Amino acid sequence: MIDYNEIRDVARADGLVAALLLLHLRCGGDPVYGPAGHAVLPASIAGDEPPLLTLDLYGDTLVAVRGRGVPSREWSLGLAWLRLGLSEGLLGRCLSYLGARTAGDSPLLVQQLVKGQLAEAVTEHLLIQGVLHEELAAEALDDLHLQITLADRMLLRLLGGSGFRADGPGQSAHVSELLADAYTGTAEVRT
Amino acid sequence: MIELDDRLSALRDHAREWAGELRPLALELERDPELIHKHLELPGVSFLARTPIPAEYNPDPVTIGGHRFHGTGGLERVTFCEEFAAADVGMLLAAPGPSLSGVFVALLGDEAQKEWFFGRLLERPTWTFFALTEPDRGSDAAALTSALTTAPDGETLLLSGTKRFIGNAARADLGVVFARTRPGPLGVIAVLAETRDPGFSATPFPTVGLRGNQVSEVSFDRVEIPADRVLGRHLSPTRRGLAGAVAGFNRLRPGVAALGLGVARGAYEYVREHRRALTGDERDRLDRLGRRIEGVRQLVRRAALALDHDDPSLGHLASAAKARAARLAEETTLEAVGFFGAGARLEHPLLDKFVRDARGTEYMEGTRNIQWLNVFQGLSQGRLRHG
Ligand SMILES: Cc1cc2nc3c(=O)[nH]c(=O)nc-3n(C[C@H](O)[C@H](O)[C@H](O)COP(=O)(O)OP(=O)(O)OC[C@H]3O[C@@H](n4cnc5c(N)ncnc54)[C@H](O)[C@@H]3O)c2cc1C
Repeated sequence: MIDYNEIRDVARADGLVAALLLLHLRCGGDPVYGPAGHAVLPASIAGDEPPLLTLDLYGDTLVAVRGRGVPSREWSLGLAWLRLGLSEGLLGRCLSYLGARTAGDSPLLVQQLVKGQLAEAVTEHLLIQGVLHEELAAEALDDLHLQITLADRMLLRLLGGSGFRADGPGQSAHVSELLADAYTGTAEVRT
Repeated sequence: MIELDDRLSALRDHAREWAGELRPLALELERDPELIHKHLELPGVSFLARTPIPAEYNPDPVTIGGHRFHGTGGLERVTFCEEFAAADVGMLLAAPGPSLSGVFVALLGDEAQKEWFFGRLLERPTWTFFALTEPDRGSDAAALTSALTTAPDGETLLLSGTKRFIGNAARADLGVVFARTRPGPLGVIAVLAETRDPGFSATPFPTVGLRGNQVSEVSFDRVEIPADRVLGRHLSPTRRGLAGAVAGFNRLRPGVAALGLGVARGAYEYVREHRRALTGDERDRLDRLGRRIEGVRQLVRRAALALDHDDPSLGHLASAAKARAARLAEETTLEAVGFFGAGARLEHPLLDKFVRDARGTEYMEGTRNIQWLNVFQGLSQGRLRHG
């Protein structure tokens, strides 16, 4: 039985790679592939197959690769908790950024538009957390992933241009989206 | 409905053809933005290198079907911006040319400055940069701290400070920099700077999308600015500086809005091209996307016409168009991914690129919140309710 809160906490505090390694470890240690056979994982635990894509994240390297295998239920739920934890970590970054940055003489954090947008994002987090439970149907889980992506997008906008740098939290959110891409959706190749 | 006349339809058709040649190069250019140097001869890139330049300064404009194009008109600009962005917004932002700076030079420069600046651009493909944003001040540009002090000769100015997110700065020859000569709103002025001068340095940093733009951190360390490179010397202090920045941005925003619109259209067309056997439900969803794109296109064109007609509501309409188009780009690209199965973004790198590029349209020329505040101003001043 996986401790999903542990995954979420590690994601929030230590970031994507640490949490992803932990999730792999808790799910048996082998690479896990999504419904259409894609994995996004730290290069350190990937095999030798040539990657579809290589991604840098805070000095770590991640790769996207093809392979085979159906993700377990634990993996799928764990990934949603992981992405929620990352989104919560992103919220923390927004609070620090907006608290330190000013418009005129006051911090951006006190602008009412900004307050409202932060409130909206945290409300999404609360909502997602409230429905993320063991019995969730696969489709509902996919929907939650999209909601996490949308919450991330609200937060990224609040980071201004710094949220678009590939050497900052915007890259983590991008890799988080690619995780959702690899591990949710239908297996069939649509034409 | 705002439709294109024969002249602009001809431009649109050509731009679509040119942009079509750029699209196969999109992923390569993303990996290595320096490849733009190999593509300077392509008609699309060469068009961008020579527009917008006001007619008085360009005796030899691009001619299509007997029509002359300077790239300065609002509707003209949004038409080609949409076409390029629907193919690859990265190439558009990587291209040499007057780009953002050209608009400010046209607006604030005196005769000699315009001749110098546009003359340089017509000599050969030349990149320019536009530097307003600083590491600690983005939206609140009025609080910028880059400083212009007077050199010992009593005339030359010395520019010192740091700018961030400056597109193309590392490959530019010249550009426009906003900096301050003294505290207060009227202390901000714009100057023309040359990147070969001692004290200038630009270091690109990586971004999630729009990589062709090669945004950089720029530092100025006592860069000499001759007195005749101060833009708007012939204008009153209330019309150059920050007021000039606002006026310039108002003119630029319809074009930036068209970039968001184009990115959205690119993703939509990608689905149409790659998903042929749609279910009924999917067809409805796709049709809905198509209608939303057309709606935003009308909004963007309305802002563009406000520019062409010197309409006082230009600033507000342009902000509405920019904010709405950035949202359209984000929403449409994410929805487009949903038309494919798991791993869509890994199997369809061009689609993934549209999704990443869309995120960047939010920040260019001001974020959504700043645009909304501007739209509200228009609303409260009664400039948006009718017509
Ligand atoms: C790809 C790209 C290219 C760029 N090119 C250039 C360029 O060539 N030249 C240049 O000078 N700049 C350029 N920029 C910078 C861009 O103009 C800034 O990123 C933008 O103005 C936002 O500033 P910021 O990033 O400092 O965000 P911040 O100002 O820190 O904003 C953070 C958040 O606070 C919100 N906010 C700020 N003030 C308020 C307020 N008063 N009320 C409510 N909300 C508020 C914002 O909406 C945002 O959500 C570029 C940026 C990108 C991403």
